Order: sequence, then C-alpha cells, then structure tokens
Amino acid sequence: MRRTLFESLTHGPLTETAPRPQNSGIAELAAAVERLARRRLGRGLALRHVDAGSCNGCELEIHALSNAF
Amino acid sequence: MPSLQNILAQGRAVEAHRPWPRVTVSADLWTAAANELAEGRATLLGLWGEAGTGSSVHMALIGEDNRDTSVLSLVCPEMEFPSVSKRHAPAIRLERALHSLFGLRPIGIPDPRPWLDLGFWDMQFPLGARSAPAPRPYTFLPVEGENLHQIPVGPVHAGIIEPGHFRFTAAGETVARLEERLGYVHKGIESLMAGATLERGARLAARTSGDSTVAYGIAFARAVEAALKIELPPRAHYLRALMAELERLANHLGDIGAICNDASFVLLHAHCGILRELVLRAAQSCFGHRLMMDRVIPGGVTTDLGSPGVTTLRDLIRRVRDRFPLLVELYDNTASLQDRTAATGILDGALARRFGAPGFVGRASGRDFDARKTPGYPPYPGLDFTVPVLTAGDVNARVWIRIREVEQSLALVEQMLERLPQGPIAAAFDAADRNGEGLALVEGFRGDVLVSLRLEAGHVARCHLRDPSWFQWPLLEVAIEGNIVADFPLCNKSFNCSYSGHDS
Repeated sequence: MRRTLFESLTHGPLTETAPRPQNSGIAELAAAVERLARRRLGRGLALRHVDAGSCNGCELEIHALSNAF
Repeated sequence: MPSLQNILAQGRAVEAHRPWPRVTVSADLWTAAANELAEGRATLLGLWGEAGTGSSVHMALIGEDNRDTSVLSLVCPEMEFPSVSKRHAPAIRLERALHSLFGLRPIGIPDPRPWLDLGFWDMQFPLGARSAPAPRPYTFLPVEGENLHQIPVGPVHAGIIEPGHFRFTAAGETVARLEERLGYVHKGIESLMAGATLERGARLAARTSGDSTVAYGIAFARAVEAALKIELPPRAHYLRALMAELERLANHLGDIGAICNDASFVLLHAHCGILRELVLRAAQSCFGHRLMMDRVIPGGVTTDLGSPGVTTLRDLIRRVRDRFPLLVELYDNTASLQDRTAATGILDGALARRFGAPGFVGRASGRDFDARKTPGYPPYPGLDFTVPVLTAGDVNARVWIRIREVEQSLALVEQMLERLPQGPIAAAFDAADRNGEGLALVEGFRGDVLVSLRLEAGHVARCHLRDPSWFQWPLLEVAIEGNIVADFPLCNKSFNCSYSGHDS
C-alpha cells in the first residue's frame, strides 16, 4: 500500500482543466442560472438525483464525474 | 420420465425458429419439462408469455452438459398454464411477472403476489387484456422469532444508484430475512418493441441496461440475424467482441473498486476508477461513445476501427496491465479489507446451479457456464481464453472471478487486435416483408442476456429480453441471510444486479 500511496504523491493529480464553453450562449445561460439560483437558494444549493426510469447509463456517468480525472 | 430430448421430440417443431428448436408442447409435456428443471437435468434460461390471439407461454432451457438449448411453447386459450415454479422455485418471479404483465395465470404458483406491477399503473395486465387497476395492499413474507425488527430501505437510495426496495428483518445486527421488491424502473420496453422497426428495436434493446448496452445490442442483433438468416462479415464479429470485452473490462474494473469502497477502502476505488475511465475514454476515441451505445446494429456494427484505434487499444491494454497487478496485490494483502470480503455473503453452489446463476455470481459458486463457450458464438470459438471458476461463493470469490476475467478480457482484446480480419463491418440485408423467429444468448459482463423475438413483415412483432439479474436477485436474498446488516452493501455490490434490466 505504501508504494501505491507514495506513487500517487509523486505523480501529481490527474485533474484536468474544465473545458471552456464553446459558445457564448452557454456562458450567458450559466450566468442567468447562477443569478437566479443565488436569489432563490442563496449558497445552499444541493442536487438530489432520483432515477425514475433510467437505463443506468446516466448514473454511471454521474459517478464518473467524481473519479480522479 | 421423459428426458428433455424426448420432450423436444414429442412436441411440434416450429419451422421459422432459429438457431435452436422451438417446439409447441402439451400441458403434460410442459409439466414434464418443469420436472426436468426441478430434478436438475435442465437449467431455466427464461420464461415469458404473449397474449392476444394465440395466448401462450414460452420457456427457454438448456439441457445437461449445456446442450440442447431450446424453447418450449404452450398455447393457453384459457389464459392459464401449469405453474413451473410449483416444482422449480427459480421460476417464481418470472411467473409472477408473467401474470402481472399479461394476465396469464400460472396454476399452482406458490407465491401469487404481483411482480413489477407496484400498483401505480393506470391499468392491469398492460401486455394482455388491459383492464382497470385493482390495487391491493402488498404483504411481505412473514418472519417469525423473538426480538425481530424491520429495516425498510429504498426505493430511493441516498446515492446515485438505481431504485429498489429492500425489506430487512434483523435480529440485532444479523439479517434473518431480506425481501426485495422491484419494478420501480419498469419502462415497458417489451410493449414499446411491439411493431417497432429493426432500427428502433435495436435502440430499445440497447437501453435495457446501460451498463450492458453492447451485450444487449449484440443479443438483439443476433436474434434478428438468426430469424432472417443473415451472415455477418468476420470483421463485424470481431468488432462486436472487442466492444463487448471493453464493456466487460469497464464494468469489472469499476465494480472491483466499488466493492472495496463499500468496505471503506477508498484507495482501491480511486485507482480502479482511473482504469475504468481509461477504458471508457478509449471506447469514446475508438467507437465514438463511452458506453458504446448503438454501435451494434442488426447486420453488423456502425463504426469501424482504424489503425489509430488499434494503437489506442494496444496502449490501453499496456496501461491497464501496468497498473492492475499492483491493485490486485493491494486487495489481496490488505487484511482489513479481506476481513470484510472473505466468508461474507456465501452463495451455496447447489443453489447457484439450481437457479442457473449467470455470470460471476454462478462462477464464484462453482457453476462453470459462459455463453461465449457454450452454446458459443463468433468470434469466441476461435479465440484462446479460459473461464475462471471458484467454489467459495463469498464476496471475495466474486471479486477474484472478476479479477481473472479482467485478465482474460485483456488477453482477448490483444488476440483480436492481432487477428482482426479485413473487410466490411456490416452485411446488407432487406428485412421488408420478411418473417422469422430468433433466439440469442450473449454473455454480458453480468452474465447471459437472452433475447427472443418474432419478426413479422420486417417489424418486431414480439420481443422478450431477459436480463441475467432475474436469476441473481433471488440469490442475493439467500446470500445475505445470517450476515450483518452492515455487510449488505458489500454483498449487494459483489452481485451488482441490474434494476433497469430486470424491471425493463
């Protein structure tokens, strides 16, 4: 285990820079949602995921959001 | 006592059904087949129905030594048939679902409660004689004893996972009984299939269980190809199997980590997650979709693999081989982790055989079955690989089967890249006005996926998709008995049954 931990320390994080929005529409939308969410929810936004008929593909990919990359 | 072969010989063979025989039998022969299952001389592969003109029930089975794959059909004009589960428990949920979906009555069924129908539908028997709903309270099986308490869990869980209800009855920390209730992600796929074009049918099949979208795609396509006698170019077989093995790798790598995560060993989860991500990125780069959804179509595949793709996959194999053995060593040498997985959630070998437990669940309990070997399908008979089998039947054995299968899949991908035939990636065919019946059995990462379909005028008239989970979920209830409640996540993840595929 020590070796794995040590390697992880020396290799550095796998985190990648987030992709930049490809068009200005998305950036505008994000800003609008941000303003609205701030007003309605303050800074206490929490997301709840409910599977109401998924094939489980989306769940796997939501999980992938929290992997090391 | 008639053997399976005798039963098949006495029935009336249906001409249009391929590649294995389908025979129409009498109620007596149907019951005789149920006895063959009960006596352990045959394994149940599926049990499904159809209603309307010519209401009938069908059972797919495979004989001793994994031979004589066949389908028996019983016409039920009175909407009833002799229950198979009266003699053979693995059929119970299939028959409960058959009744809930079609209104066909299994006479003598030991458990007549509904299944899949949770009382929320605006009708009863949606695939049969649709009628007004008659919701009744659902009672869980009784548990008797001193100081028992119940823990209801789900259907909505505190995580990003599929929905299902688990009703635990515990004596202190020890589980006395677990009973599952499923159906929350029923999408009516078989209903949507009726009348679908082949293109739409393939897309529906590919969404039955997202983690097995390649396996479902291949199973649906193979059933169509059997029904219409379509011969595939060799390259199409190879590209399908390449995607299938990538799917197996991604799932096994993800699940090995997730099992460790449920024992709070986050380190392995993180590292396995990296390898899973590498597989998915390679899939995206080679085939244009991380889960490779809709890449398999009847007749072949949609996406060819160029030489950059071959390099990407070779690189992937090298990187996984580089890291994976270290992670396996870590798994094997961490006492606190072994303490949780060894001797936990033991599934008895006799039960695994009786239920025809698919995939690694069966293989960790001594059931040597892999649809890639028997009945087998191209290109696997020409490839060199072994099917790992263990007998301990605990969480640890299921992890080890998956570790061995990762190694086998890596070797398979490597072999296929070396031998990849040149040529077209799909066969041209015209389905218009053609009829036929096809059956396919394809080994997904979780186990064998069964698809049975009937085509009429080039469209899907009836399609049944049976997820391997049907024969695994009931065994999870058994495996957890006598274990502590806190070990349920470990046991559950080591089975990793599909909700979506089961509920479909």
